[in-house]
Amino acid sequence: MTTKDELTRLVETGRRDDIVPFLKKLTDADKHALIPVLKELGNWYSDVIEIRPGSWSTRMSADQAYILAAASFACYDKNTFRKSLWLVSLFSGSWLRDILPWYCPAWFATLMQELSDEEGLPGGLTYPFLMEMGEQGWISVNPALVVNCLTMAIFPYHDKRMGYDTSVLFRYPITMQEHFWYLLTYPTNIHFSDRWLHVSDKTGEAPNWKSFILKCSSNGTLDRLRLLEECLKTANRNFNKLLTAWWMDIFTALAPTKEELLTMQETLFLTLDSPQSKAVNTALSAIKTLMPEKEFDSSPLLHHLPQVLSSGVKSVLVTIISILEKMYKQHPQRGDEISSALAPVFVSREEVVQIRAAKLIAQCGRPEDTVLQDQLQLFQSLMLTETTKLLRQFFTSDVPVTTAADITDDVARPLLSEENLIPAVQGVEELIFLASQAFENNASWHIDQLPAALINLQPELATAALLQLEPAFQRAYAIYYLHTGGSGMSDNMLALFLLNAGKIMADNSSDYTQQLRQLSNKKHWWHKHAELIPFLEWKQTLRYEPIIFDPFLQLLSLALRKITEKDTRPLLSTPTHTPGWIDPCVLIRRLHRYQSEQAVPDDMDWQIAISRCALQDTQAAIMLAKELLQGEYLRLMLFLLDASAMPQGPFTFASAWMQAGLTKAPAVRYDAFAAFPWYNLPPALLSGNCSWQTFSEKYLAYGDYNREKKSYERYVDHRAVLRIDIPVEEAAPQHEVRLLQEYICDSGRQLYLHNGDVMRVMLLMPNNPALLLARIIGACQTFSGVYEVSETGMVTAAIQGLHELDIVPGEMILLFVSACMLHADKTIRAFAAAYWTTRVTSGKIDSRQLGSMTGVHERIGWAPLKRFCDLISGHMWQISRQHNRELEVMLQACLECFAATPVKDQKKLLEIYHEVLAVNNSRIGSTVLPGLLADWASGSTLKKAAGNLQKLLL
Amino acid sequence: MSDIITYHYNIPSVLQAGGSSGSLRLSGFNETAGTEMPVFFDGKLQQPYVTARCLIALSNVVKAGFSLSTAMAAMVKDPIITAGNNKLRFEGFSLCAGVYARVDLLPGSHAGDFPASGTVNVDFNQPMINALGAVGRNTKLQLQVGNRHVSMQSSASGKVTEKKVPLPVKWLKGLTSVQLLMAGTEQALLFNKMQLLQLFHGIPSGQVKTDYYLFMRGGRPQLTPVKMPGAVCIGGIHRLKLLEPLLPLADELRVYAREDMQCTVWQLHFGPVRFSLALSREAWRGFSGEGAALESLIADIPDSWITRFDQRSYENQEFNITLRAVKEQISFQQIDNLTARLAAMGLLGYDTADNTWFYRRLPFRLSRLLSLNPRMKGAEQLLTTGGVTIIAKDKVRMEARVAGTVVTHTVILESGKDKCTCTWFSRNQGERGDCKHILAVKKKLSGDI
Repeated sequence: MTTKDELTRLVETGRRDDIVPFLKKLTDADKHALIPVLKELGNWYSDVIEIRPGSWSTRMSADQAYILAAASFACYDKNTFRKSLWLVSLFSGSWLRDILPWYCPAWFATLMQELSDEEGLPGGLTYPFLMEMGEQGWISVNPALVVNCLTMAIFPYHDKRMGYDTSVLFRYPITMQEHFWYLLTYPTNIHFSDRWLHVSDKTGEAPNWKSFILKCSSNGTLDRLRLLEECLKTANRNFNKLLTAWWMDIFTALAPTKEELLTMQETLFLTLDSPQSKAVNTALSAIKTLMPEKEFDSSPLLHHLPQVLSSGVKSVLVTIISILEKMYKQHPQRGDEISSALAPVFVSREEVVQIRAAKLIAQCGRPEDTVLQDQLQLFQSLMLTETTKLLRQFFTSDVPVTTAADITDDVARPLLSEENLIPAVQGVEELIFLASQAFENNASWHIDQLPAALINLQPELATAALLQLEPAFQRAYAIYYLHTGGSGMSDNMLALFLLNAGKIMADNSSDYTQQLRQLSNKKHWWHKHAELIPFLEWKQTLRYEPIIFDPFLQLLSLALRKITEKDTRPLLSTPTHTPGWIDPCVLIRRLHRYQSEQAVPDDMDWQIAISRCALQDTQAAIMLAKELLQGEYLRLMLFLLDASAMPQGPFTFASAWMQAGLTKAPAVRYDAFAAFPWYNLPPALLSGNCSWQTFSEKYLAYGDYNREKKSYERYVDHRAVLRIDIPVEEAAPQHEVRLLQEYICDSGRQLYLHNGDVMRVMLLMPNNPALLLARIIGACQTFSGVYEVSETGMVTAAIQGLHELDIVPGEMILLFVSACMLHADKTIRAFAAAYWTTRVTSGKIDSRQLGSMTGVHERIGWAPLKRFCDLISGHMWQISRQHNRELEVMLQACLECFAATPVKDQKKLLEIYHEVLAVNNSRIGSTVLPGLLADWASGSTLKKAAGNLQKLLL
Repeated sequence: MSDIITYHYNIPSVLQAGGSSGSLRLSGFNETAGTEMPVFFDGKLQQPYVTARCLIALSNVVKAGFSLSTAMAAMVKDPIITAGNNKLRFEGFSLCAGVYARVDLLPGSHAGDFPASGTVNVDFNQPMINALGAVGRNTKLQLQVGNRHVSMQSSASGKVTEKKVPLPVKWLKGLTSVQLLMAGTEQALLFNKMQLLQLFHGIPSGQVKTDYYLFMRGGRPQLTPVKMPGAVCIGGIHRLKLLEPLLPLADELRVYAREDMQCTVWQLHFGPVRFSLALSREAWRGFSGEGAALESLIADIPDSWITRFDQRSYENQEFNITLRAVKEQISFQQIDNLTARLAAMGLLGYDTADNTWFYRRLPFRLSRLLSLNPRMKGAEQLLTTGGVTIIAKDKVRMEARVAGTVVTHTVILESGKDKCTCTWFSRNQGERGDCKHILAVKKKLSGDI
């Protein structure tokens, strides 16, 4: 029997006791010859198969795995073993322990080094086994290997249960003398062990590293002074903040005495340079306790001040100022240094920080000190008015308190201009490139532009040109069937549209079909995946039926009909300007063609075209309409374009008339339309102005898990919610033709839109996106907490899209913006603030209404008020005098909605309001606020802030 | 060629501290020169505290991976140091190849000798970084780069530090192409001490997916997610937090940006010490994918030019394009192509503050560097297999068909409006350099094959 046969037999029979004797007798040549067999056996036995119905496993038993792993280790070289599946069982099985005493390959030590360097050691390596391997000279024990397994050394497994046993740390002298200190030098996961590991406590002490370290420190096993100092040094070792915080907790738990702290002054100061605020706070607390000590030299503190002050963490800043106050008392001669070094503190907008720092500077600084003057001048624009008053003596010139400009240089852009013109697709060549781009770098209007170009250019699409569309068909195939990339539903629909269009064109052209056959024997893109799904069956291939996409479905179906019928009349709804506007003059010309060719426009196409019409400076369009259009076309367009015009019958194109009315004046009901089937639809559905309410509601919250009941305890709690009433159509609509609004409303069913789809749906009705926003609020903003990625993405896309629509915001838009201002996501908040900023400049926003809505949300603490305060400080403050005045209006309206009982962080909001009033040199003219301020001033938390405001009452 | 690079350091880099003074000895390795090398610098640092903090920040950059798994993040590549011409430059690159950092120690920041000039990988180990953290404002620090004492110590202890790490093409390629991208930047904004602190307070926490735009309003830096004309566009703005520990020490911050916003450079000035951080367009995009050099690589440069340049240059020597063009009597276009070729070969770095190129030979085998640019290789393969057919050609316009995967692509070359129907071009619209199909057509037109 050959060695190959013998090995195969051993594996088959699973005789693990015989593998070591077998391997021992092999020569190097034998081992080399066995490599192919081992690979083959390994592959076959590691195949996952169905061992019994519904149960899957590999072919090998535990004994067979043992034999194969041991043989592979003995025969393979390092690289082959590293790539093999046996690497993962290096420490989890027992085979390595059995084999190493008689055979340790020369590459084993290198392998261990490599794996530890890459933090890629397989699981199961225990500290005792590591030490044993080191003692035997099999490997070289290095710090990376030690820290890999030392943190778990005190939690050994017995009978598959984790225990707690520290005796292993005393088995080798080097462990506590050297290895323990690696834990403070290299990054580890030691902080997780206390938090996540649950082990039984049999010794009476808390079964974790913390209690062990404290015990060793108190009984002298560990050098206490060294331990304290090393704990502090972790602050500057690039550890993550959780790990650093854990060591800082150990430092605090060790309760260092003043004498001990005095020996480590230098380390304490270096800790102040740490990027972790917990470490800085720990060091500052220690320094604070040392301040009265004569042996303590506090002078180096000033060198580290820039790092500490830049943190911006309020607690850190308050502590450092109090330390500097003490320092000045002890060393008045350092007044110049202290005051000069303190200037960067004014980057923080916390009133308590600024006022306290200003008082200290006023006390210890010299007004004639030019260095100090320069420093303060640099930060003056960041100072609050109260701070500036306290430091007035240091400013040489009468620099105005505010740096806000009169107006911003933001320029309002008209809805239609050369800058936002969507270039028309001029010829076949441009169509070929557009078709590829529409699936990769797609813009919102590509879903309109691609079908429009195909319709327009179909007479020119000869076989040669069609063949150049192959890359686009390939991409459409991938999008539709393979769902590649981050495409949304509308992309998916556009892909199926293009494949169907290709098939129609092939059916219409025998030459093209023949060329395609020659191109490839394989089936073409539209036959590749069984038969091509007809476009109208698109929805049936989905898990649910998103009615909201029906307008696109109807539009693209129309385009396919036109391609089939070789109808080159343009789609009416194709936008001409970004993001989705139609120039009314262009629409009139398109209609003119329909009228002159006596063709009737498609219902949905016309509705979308009307709702996308840019109704700004319409005089030229009115003139053109009078010139080109006649009859009902003319009457309809004049009604749409002239704000004061009333509808004049007779009405043939009822849905277009209805849409025109809703586009120019969503809330108005025209009596002339009383006979229309949509006249009695809920007003909120037609205008989008849904009713809403922010209130505290009862709900059943989850409590602790009850092991006996095997369920969670439930209890009644309260939560703040923003509820919006989406109109529901009680029965299926009887009318054949449905309004665009009905599709977007979709009776308020669950809404999910891909980010790219949000903008496209919004641009179906760019003049009035209220209904879509109401649905997004309902789906994504009932609570102010953190939502899933998809909901946050929808809100981001919506606020981003809203930004691009320069329309006067109605109630729903303002509600959406107010909810965005309080959103958990900082980027969404920044978008909302930017929306307000730009609309203030163009005078298009009602800051009072926006402030009232925010106040209604916040009076019950719908979202943390800190979000709103930080947003004002960071994004809405000191933009221009106009903005400061609008901010005052908004804050007043907001505070007027608050209740007599204050909410959390209201003090900060009152401080901001006070600062805004001071900068604007205004007084409070509200009739509601005096009463509220009196209530708030009677409490302890708002006494000062409310009191300051009371002084500004008219 | 193996995609594993093995750093052989005779001894680990070490900072030996003694009271208020210390000695930082940086151990180097060059793949082409091996472990035997001279001392490149020996002297003292004039701003030890700032320098130590900058080196820690650099180590944070090389450890950073903004679009990688944790396992990949463990495979840290050591930074590179270039010593010569009275300057020391430390360069590092994040694992994700999207963030590049450089510490420039200019004349005035050190006092010592440069016995030799050269570029080497430098061992950045954890204990040394820890020790750098302990350098205080009053610490005096000696610096030695190179291996003067190494041979004795290593022969005594027989200890060689060896680190094996995968060296992905994207990492090396990014290191070379970032220089070209930086060369296309202009200074867009300048912030004083107060403004830079204020700016960083406004950066959102956590990972930010949306682009942010930076502009000045009323003397204050403003960040907004809304696109603003003239504002600097920053993708993956959270990557800027790598600069945070250095902010309180800096005198000013200069922001450089390209017109197409494909790269921004953030440069902190601390007197004669500078820390530069270059960010790719988005956090998930590495500099490696930016085809900044591709077009320049089409034109053939005579090997003699490259050899002449390489032989006559020394580390950190300025490479003045205008002077060189006049001196060598070659056109500016040819000099541009030569510059791009040299940068792609790892022979040139770019200094944004001084607006100059400087010579340095990356410490890797040239064969590694020349194997970069897969798009160019793909283009050459298309030409070899006859995948390019010119359909029409006149003075202003050229149309070609180029073989793609399964389908045939249409390529149009028209002054400034080159385009292709492939996925790469459709997705990027030329922002990230030409696709391999356009390159192949251009190369065919240039008459190389």
